Amino acid sequence: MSPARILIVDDNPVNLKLAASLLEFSGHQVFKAGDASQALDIIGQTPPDLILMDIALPGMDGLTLTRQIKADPATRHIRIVALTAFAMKGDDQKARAAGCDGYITKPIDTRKFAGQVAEVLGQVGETNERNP
Amino acid sequence: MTTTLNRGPWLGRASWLAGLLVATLGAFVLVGWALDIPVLKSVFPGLVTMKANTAAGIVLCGVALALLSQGKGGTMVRLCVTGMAAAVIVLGSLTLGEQLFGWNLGMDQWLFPHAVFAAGISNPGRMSPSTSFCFVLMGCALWVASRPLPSRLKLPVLEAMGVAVVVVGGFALAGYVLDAAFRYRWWSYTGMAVHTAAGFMLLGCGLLAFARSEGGLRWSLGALATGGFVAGIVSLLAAAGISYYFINQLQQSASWVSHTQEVLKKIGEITVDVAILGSSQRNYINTGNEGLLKQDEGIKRAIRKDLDDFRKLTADNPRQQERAGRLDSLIARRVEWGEQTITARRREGLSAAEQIIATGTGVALSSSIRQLVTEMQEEEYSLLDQREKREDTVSETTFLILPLGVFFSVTLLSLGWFFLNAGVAERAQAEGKADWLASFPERNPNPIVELDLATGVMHYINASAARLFPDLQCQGLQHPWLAGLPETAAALLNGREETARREIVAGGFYYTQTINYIPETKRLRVYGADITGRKRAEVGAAQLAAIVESSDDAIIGKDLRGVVTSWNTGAESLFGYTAGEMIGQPIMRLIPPDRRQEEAEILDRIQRGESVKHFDTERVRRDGSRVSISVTVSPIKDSAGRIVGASKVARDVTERTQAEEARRASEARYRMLFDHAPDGIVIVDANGYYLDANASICRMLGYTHDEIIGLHASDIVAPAEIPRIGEALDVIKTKSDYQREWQLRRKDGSVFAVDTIATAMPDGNLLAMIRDITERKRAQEALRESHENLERKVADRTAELQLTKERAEAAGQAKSEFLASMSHELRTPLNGVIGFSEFLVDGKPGALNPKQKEYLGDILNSGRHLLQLINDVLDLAKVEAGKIEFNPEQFPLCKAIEEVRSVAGPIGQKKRIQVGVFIAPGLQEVTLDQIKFKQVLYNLVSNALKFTDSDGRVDIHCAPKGPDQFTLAVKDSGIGIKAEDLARLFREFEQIDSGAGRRYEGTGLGLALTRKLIELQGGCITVESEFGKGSTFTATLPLTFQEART
Repeated sequence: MSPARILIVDDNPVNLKLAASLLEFSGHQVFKAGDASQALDIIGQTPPDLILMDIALPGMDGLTLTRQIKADPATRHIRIVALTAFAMKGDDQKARAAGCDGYITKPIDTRKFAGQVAEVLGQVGETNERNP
Repeated sequence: MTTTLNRGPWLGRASWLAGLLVATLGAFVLVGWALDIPVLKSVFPGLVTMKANTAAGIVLCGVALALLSQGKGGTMVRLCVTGMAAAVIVLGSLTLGEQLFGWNLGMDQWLFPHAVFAAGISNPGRMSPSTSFCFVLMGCALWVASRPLPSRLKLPVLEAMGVAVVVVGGFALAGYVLDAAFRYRWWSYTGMAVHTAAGFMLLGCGLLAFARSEGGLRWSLGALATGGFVAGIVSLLAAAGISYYFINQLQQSASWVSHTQEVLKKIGEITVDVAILGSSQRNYINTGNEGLLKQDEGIKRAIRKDLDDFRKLTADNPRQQERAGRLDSLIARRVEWGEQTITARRREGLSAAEQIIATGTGVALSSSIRQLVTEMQEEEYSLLDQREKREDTVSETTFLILPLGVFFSVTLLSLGWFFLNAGVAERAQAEGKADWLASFPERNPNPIVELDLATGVMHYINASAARLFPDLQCQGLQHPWLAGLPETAAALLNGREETARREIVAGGFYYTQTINYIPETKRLRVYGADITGRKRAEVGAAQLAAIVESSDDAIIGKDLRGVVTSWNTGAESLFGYTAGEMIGQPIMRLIPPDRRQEEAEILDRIQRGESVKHFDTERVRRDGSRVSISVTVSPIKDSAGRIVGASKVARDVTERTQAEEARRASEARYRMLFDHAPDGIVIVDANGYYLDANASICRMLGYTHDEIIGLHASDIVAPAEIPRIGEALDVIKTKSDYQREWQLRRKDGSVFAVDTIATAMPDGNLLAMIRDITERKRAQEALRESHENLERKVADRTAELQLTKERAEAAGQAKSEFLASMSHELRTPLNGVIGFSEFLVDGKPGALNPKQKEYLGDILNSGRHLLQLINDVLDLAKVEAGKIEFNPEQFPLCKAIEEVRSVAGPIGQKKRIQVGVFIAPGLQEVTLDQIKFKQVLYNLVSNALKFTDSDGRVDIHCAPKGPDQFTLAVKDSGIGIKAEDLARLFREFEQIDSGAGRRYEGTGLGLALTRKLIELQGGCITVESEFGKGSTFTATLPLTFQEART
């Protein structure tokens, strides 16, 4: 598993830190954003391979941001995984409908988290190989 | 033979073809003349040519014939043909004129003035007389054919002329054929060219074909006429030919006479020349004068020439030829002898010459010559005599034959014409008579048919039969009009009868049929007559008689003297006399003495033609009792309108009188009913005016009886209801069961309600029964009010309940929203707590000492418990808010149970608890929400495992229950539940304390959720437990998912 550039968007600093710690521990390069505008800045400067997107954000929410990224041809290729405390039935469908490629509920299972992320990244790699 | 030749189209085409061929032939010859091609002009070199005029005439004839045969020409075409025919007639006639009267009109060179002809022919370019004759005939025929003449005149003429043309052409052609075949010139006088002859043959045949196609002429009638014409024309031609022959003979004889005289003249000249020659010789000898011999040589040449001429002239007479030879040699010897004497005289002198003369040779020769010449002259004279005689005979014959031939021909032609007319007239007469005879059956208004019984073929159907029975021809003996004919005709066929008669019904009409058998043709003739009128009259009369006979009234006929003529059954029963007893008897027997005058008056009135109607009187019965009757007496008239008697219809009115009394009694009864009825009863007329009213209605309205009569319905109806009166009257008239409430107005103006039942009576008036329903209305009103109150209260209560329900629903909604939001808000911090705890416990950031690790584990467990609590609360909230959805699918029970066991198993393994599965055989597949099923089972199994100590046992039992349910039981050997705790078991946030005071992990929501899930699938859950020994949770579920009824 090669290290990847991963952007984590979360308004809760503890949760941001937890996810970042886990991914850094796995060797990934992690960028952090507390809201949509920060996220867009980072995407504009160094487009990441993957975004872990919290849904409930101040200002623009995570789903709207996802739709915006997926609508832009320049950023459409970036994989986005919803990382949210909305764990009710139907929430995963909403996330996928907005354009998310994966869906992880909080609280995260720290023992599986790295694997879940790797799985999504693996799909990216495969997809890119197939469609360079 | 009377069959009409029906070959019109075929013959028409033949005639058209002949015309075209001939026209083409003529055109070719004209081309031959124009371009000087001998083959076209005369066919064979040296033969007679077809002259240009002939060719032109033939073209005209051919075209005219073709035009006629087309048969569809209008007036223009006919006029064209007439013009051509006229041109042909003129051509033929003028040429005939030239030939007969020696005119020279120069018409022979009109067409081709510069044509070259063989020399020595008197009129080069002129057609032969027979050709011009044929043109005249053809022209006349075409002219006749083109004119709208009656065919009985036109067609014989055409035929005769056609035949004449064929004959003339045929003779010429036959002459050519014979000449070519046998070198026998049998008829060379026509002078017709071979193709002209062929052309006329074709034209003649075409004309005949046209006549036949046009008229369908009948041979039987045309034969005599045609024969006459043909014979006449042939004889005319023969006469002309014979005359021509004899005139030729005459000319020939005359030429022979002059020929003989020429021969005699030659003989004379020879004799004279010989004599002159002898005399000149003698004179020389006597005188010696040489000058006398000067002319000798010339005379000798003349003699030689004359002899040659003679030989030529008598070339046909061998005897004269022989004589000419002898004469020639005698003259030669005489001349030689003469020269000898002359030579002797010249050389030796007179004496020598006289010596020679004295021998007598010269004299002998001269005498022989004289003798021979005399013979020759005698021969010629006898020939001349013969020829003159023959000339006389020929001229006599010629002048005899010419008029005879003409006479004979004219006679034959006239005969032909006579027979033609006679035939036509006879035929017309015969046809007229046949038509007249045929019109008898044909115009007979009765149907007549002739048919063959054996074959059923209809041989004759007259117009009337065809009109009455259009299907007769096709149906034959199957036709209703002929039904049963074979049976009827059987007697006829056996020869027993000549005529059979029968009656038959066909097409609703009656017919009599007279049937004749015709033995010659073995056919039947059926003569019908329509007798429907008579039949109907008979039926009508029979019906009338039956009606009279069956009438209950006495119907009696009598004459003017009062004698009974007819007596029906009604009369028998009314008066007691039978018909036999009364007919012929005076009617006076029935009349009581005090009424005699009355009968006389009635008879008087009848004789004046009047009727007496419904006259009530009395009569005496046979038994002497009197009977009241009503009589109607009418005059009976015969066919001429004279009154011959009277018909009398009498009815017993005794019963009527009694009935009237009964009716009056009944009326009184009803009147009483009417007057005393508690309900109001009124009778109104069709317009709504009161005719009668009973006491009750008067009371109700406050009127007296007299006041109410004559009022109108609108006077007693409340003003608001007045407009509805008209409609109500209409309904009552048509409907028998009218019922309605009305508001009526009393005399004092107050209004009250009534119930009205009304109906129309047979007399057209309306009967109404009126009941005062004021009291009833009042009761109804009270009832209605209390009912309304009740309804209002119910509605109020319902509205309240609705509001409560809505509020409850809103609260439920708020609750689920709150729970969802709370779940999110609780999970967010829990993410940090659980995540970092796990991270640390796993030692990823660095190693921990045991105490640290233990405490961190406690934090992690607390976090996880909190998370489970949140999840369960959330599920329960969803169930309560009705947001849970079920997705039933068919799945094998054992597979689902095995999956749950494999998930829950590890928990049990830690405590060495066996989890057993027992599924009753026959229980295989269920249709439920598989996830919910597994959740339920998992909850129950995990619960059982939780409350069971190590080395215990948990069993899952599945068994069918009833036809459509099964039980899922989870039995454990755990701590059990106290009986008093069982009731709290399935409630939220309740956890039963174990007796040992231990608290078990769990939210206290699991069983509550399980119960909800089971109940929502149409099932239920029970528990049996013995404290300290174990518990059994039994869920009863349907085999197929059912939406739970709440």
